[in-house]
Amino acid sequence: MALPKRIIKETERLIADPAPGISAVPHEDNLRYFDVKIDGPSGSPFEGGQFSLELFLPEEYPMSPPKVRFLTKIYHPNIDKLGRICLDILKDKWSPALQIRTVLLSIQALLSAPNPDDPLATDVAKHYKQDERDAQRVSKEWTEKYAK
Amino acid sequence: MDFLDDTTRVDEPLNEDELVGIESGFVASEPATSSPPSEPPLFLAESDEEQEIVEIMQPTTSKKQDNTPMKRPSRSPDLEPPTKKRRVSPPAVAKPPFKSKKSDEELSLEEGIYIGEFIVDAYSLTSGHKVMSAGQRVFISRSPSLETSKSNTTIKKGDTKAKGKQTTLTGFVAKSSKESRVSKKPDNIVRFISEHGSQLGRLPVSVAEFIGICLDLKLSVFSGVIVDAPEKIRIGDSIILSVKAYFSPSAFQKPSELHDNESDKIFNEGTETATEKMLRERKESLVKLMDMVGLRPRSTSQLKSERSLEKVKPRSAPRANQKKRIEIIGEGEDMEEVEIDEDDEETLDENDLDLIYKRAQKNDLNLPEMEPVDSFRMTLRPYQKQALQWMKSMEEGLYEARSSRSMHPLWQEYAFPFEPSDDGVIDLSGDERPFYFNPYSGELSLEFPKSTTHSKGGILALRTRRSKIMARQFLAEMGLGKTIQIAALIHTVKASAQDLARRGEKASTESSKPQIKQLSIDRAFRAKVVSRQSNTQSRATLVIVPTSLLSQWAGELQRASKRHTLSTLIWHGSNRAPLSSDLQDVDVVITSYGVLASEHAKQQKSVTSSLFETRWFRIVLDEAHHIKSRISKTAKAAYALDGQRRWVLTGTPIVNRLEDLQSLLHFLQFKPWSEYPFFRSFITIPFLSRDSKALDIVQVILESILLRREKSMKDKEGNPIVSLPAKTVTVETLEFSPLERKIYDQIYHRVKSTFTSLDERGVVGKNWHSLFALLMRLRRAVLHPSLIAAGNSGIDLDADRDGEVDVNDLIAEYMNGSRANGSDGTTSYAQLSVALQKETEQECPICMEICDPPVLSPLCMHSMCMGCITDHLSKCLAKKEEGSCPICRKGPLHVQDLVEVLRTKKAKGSAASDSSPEPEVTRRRSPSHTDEDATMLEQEMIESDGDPDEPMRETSVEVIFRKNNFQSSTKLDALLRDLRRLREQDSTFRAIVFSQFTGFLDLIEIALERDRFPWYRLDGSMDPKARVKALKQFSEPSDKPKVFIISLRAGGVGLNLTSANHVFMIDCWWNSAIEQQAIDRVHRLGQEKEVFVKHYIIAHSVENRILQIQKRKTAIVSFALGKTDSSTSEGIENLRIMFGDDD
Repeated sequence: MALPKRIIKETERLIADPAPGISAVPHEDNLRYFDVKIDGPSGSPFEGGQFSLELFLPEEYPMSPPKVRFLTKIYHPNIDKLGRICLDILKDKWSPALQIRTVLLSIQALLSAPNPDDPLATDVAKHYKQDERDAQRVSKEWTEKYAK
Repeated sequence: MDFLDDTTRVDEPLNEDELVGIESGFVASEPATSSPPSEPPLFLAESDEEQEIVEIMQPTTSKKQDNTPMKRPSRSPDLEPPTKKRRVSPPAVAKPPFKSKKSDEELSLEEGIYIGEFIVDAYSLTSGHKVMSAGQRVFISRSPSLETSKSNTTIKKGDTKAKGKQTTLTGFVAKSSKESRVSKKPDNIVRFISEHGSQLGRLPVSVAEFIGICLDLKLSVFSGVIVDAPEKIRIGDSIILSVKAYFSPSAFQKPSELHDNESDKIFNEGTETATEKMLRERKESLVKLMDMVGLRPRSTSQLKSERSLEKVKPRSAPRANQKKRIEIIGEGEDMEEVEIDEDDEETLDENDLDLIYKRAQKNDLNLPEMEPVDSFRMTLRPYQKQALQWMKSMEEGLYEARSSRSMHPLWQEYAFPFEPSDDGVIDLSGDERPFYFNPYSGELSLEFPKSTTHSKGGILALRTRRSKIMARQFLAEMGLGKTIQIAALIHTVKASAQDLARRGEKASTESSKPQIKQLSIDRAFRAKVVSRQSNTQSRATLVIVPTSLLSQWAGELQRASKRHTLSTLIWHGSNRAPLSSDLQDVDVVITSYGVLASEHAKQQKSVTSSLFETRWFRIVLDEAHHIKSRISKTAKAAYALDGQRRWVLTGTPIVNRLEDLQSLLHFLQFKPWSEYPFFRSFITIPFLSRDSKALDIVQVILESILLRREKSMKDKEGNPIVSLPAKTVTVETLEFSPLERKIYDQIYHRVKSTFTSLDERGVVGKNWHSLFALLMRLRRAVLHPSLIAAGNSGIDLDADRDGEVDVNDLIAEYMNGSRANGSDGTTSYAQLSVALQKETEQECPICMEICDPPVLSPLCMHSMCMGCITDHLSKCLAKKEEGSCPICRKGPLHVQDLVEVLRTKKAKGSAASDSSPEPEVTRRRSPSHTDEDATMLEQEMIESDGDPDEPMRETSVEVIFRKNNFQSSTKLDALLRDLRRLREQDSTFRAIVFSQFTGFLDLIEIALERDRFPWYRLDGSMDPKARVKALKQFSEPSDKPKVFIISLRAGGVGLNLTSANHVFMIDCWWNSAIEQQAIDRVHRLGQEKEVFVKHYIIAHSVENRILQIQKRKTAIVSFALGKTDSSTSEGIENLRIMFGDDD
């Protein structure tokens, strides 16, 4: 199965001109599978941590969104225990004009701005809603614990 | 022998002995008999007793001899001449035997040859008790009784008496024919009389009719035995008779000298002369007689058995035929000029065609093979070697090429049955004696009638007639390597010095001959006669091909030849040099039909044309159905060519009329069938009246002249001669989108009501053209609504203006997409276009490649590939979401809203002319393209500079925005869907798309462009060079898919497109054979992959009806061509189908 030119181009650009705080490297044996590292955005409870994610480009990509999952444990209302991410552009708001880079940037932004109103990890979301400060503390702890 | 009386026997023995000794058969006996006058078989023209016994009788003895073996061999060779002599002799001789017989009352039938017996239910004409009894012998006679029938008797008497003076048969015959003619109406009564001469009864009219003529013409004699009669009999009672029939010797004489130039006589004269009538009656009667006695041709073709059921029916037809023929004769030469004949629809269905070819192919398996000479480079397949041998033989006049014994096409072979003999002695030692009968001329012969078309014997007369007909027709279904075979022939059979030398001599003999025929021949022929005298000889072969095949032929010929062994010259183009100078070193001259016709026109204007001034060694017509209409200029030009050997290559010698064949035969100079009147009266007209004989004749003609190969044929071992990969044909029925349906229905009802009103007034024929145009319009509507946009074909559907607007509005709506969303694209396209023009390469956000072809979202001016955005939008649709711009999410966005950006070289004048510029209006629908060739349909063009009123001619690029709405034509969608699927499966597929409408080809082009399919195009407007280029590009290997869009009419023949294995038929043609031919461009020799063919049909549209017409197997070509005179009932019937109500 030939790799679409788009994927090759994206990969090349990600490597040649990476977005700050983000790196994505394809597996040698499967160029649709990327190892992703995202630095926790500064000013967020995740600052200082480096989060590993996996990203997979399905066959239909770019007509279908990439599949992305956190590998590093993270305490975030929109990311569940399994690392699944609740982000509209990864679901119904996907647009083929989006790219790996934009997806990862969006995820980075999500770390800065959790959205407990549209939760995936309900207990975390509850925590954030009831006591944001305490929740952030836990997030920080987890970052220290798992993301360093 | 019922008639033999004891007394006779006593009297005759002497004769018998003598005869046995001397003669060897009834005919052969003649010479012998004529010398010893007393014995010979007699014509018993029985007159002196008044009793008009017309029969010709012979001594009993000779009759017996007939059955004896010894006679046969000696007699057969020279039957004919003797008979004639005999004519002369009998009179002198006649009396004595006749007398003796007479007195004995025993009429010997010796001279007759028994041909069979039949039972008749006759009527009594007497009454009384025990007048007749079973077993009683009776004479069958024309005259009612000895005294009564004055009319007949007197004449007959005269005959008998005058016999001595009557030296020629013709005179004799003529007289009797006249008589029969006179007497026919009042008297077609045939009686039977007792041995004592009293009238007993008459035969039923049905039988009497032909028996009477047989008697009158002295073709046969009859004897009867009463099988059953009531004891007490009254007038009108039924009597069962067993009648034995004998051919009298005179039957085997040529009816008259007339036959040889029969065609002349028949067709030159407006009315049926007495002689002709006699001939006709003779023929009909013989046919009936032979039918009655159950004689069947011995050499039965397959056809015969299949037809036997019909045997009776056709019988009734001939009379009508004859009348018809007379009428046509009356019109004589005019017809040729006036083309009246064209209105006959003697179309053939496939079964007919199969039958026709069957015989021609019967013996092909066993043809000997022949190796080509060394200079020929390719390896021939076995069947090609056979063909080579055959062609060579044909050219050299060896008619044994095909092992079949070719009888003259009009003749049939019969065997005389043995007569059950009285004395119980059945002579079993005898061979079956064959005799031959020509059911068309009524001739009988004991000699084997050679197929004269083949005779190339040493006789001068024959040679002048035939020798130049080295011409044969050779035909192979497309794709079986005709070119190669002709190449092999050209290599193998070269002009010998002899050939070259002989030409002059031949030319002179020929030139004198045609004059005989001139009455039926048009001016072109005369011109030829004149010009022929001076023709220079050439050893070259002239090949005439359709323009599109010129270079293919040249290429194939070269490919088939070793280096420098064959020089070819393509003689084509407006600046072609006169030929004569080159001809010495050229082996093959290839030219086109177009050149042929125009050279001929020159020649007609008495400008000399080297084409016609040359006497070619060989002429080959490829795709010879180009000359199928004998009145066409091309055909006339072809006839006028002077060549020694002539070949005709075609896949369809009979396209759908038998007369198609005639033109080919004319070119081949295959006499006598090459003459139209002859062909018409012996083939066309019988065929029209459903006389199956017509097909028999055609079969025999073809057997002797045609070699046919089909892909499905098997060789000796039963292997297919060519193994082609499988072919899968699918027909997909598509449904219109609602709006398309609305548009189509509107137009359809309009056209239909037009037709109905014309039909009611009975003026369909007069309005043929406009109806045809309307039909075409419907057919376009099926393809794509834009194709019938206003003004397209210049035909108003109606004077009904409102309606017109209505349709146009619908179309407009269609163009704009079914959702009204016209006015929200407010961005200035003009500005954008400037940007686009500079920045020619834009990356598509989706595939990240250069947009190809680029489209814009009208909402945000974001651009992307057509394919990408279409995918995206359809995905949205599938998810039941509103489409939007993938970049800015502006929506809703629909596929048909997209604006296509075309960058084209400013070459297309038609496109530019269409751009009546409107500064910032971006959404101009333009069904206003006035000519079909306008490539840019529904385009919105914006000239790229700020002042659109003055198009920038300097810029090499112009940017065209076009709304992406035409794609929603159902057929286009289907095609593209399939192409895309194909591409997914095989990224290097090759496909051919056929359509008849170049306008639609334009649309397909755009659609392909949009879907990024590399495409090539071939249509009638392209010159040969461009065609070759397109073909070449298409067949070049590449890792991309390629689509070749071809106009059915331009590319249906000859092309070799085996690099593709997918065929898409966008629309259907009137005649499925044409479609078939087109498909065979791909499915032909050289094809290695399985072939897939797909037809698209729109449900409930004119296309269904066309399919119906195709199924009727009476596709009307003239209809399709829009001929003015095609207003036949057939055509109208087809129109009714078109406009009939849906079931």
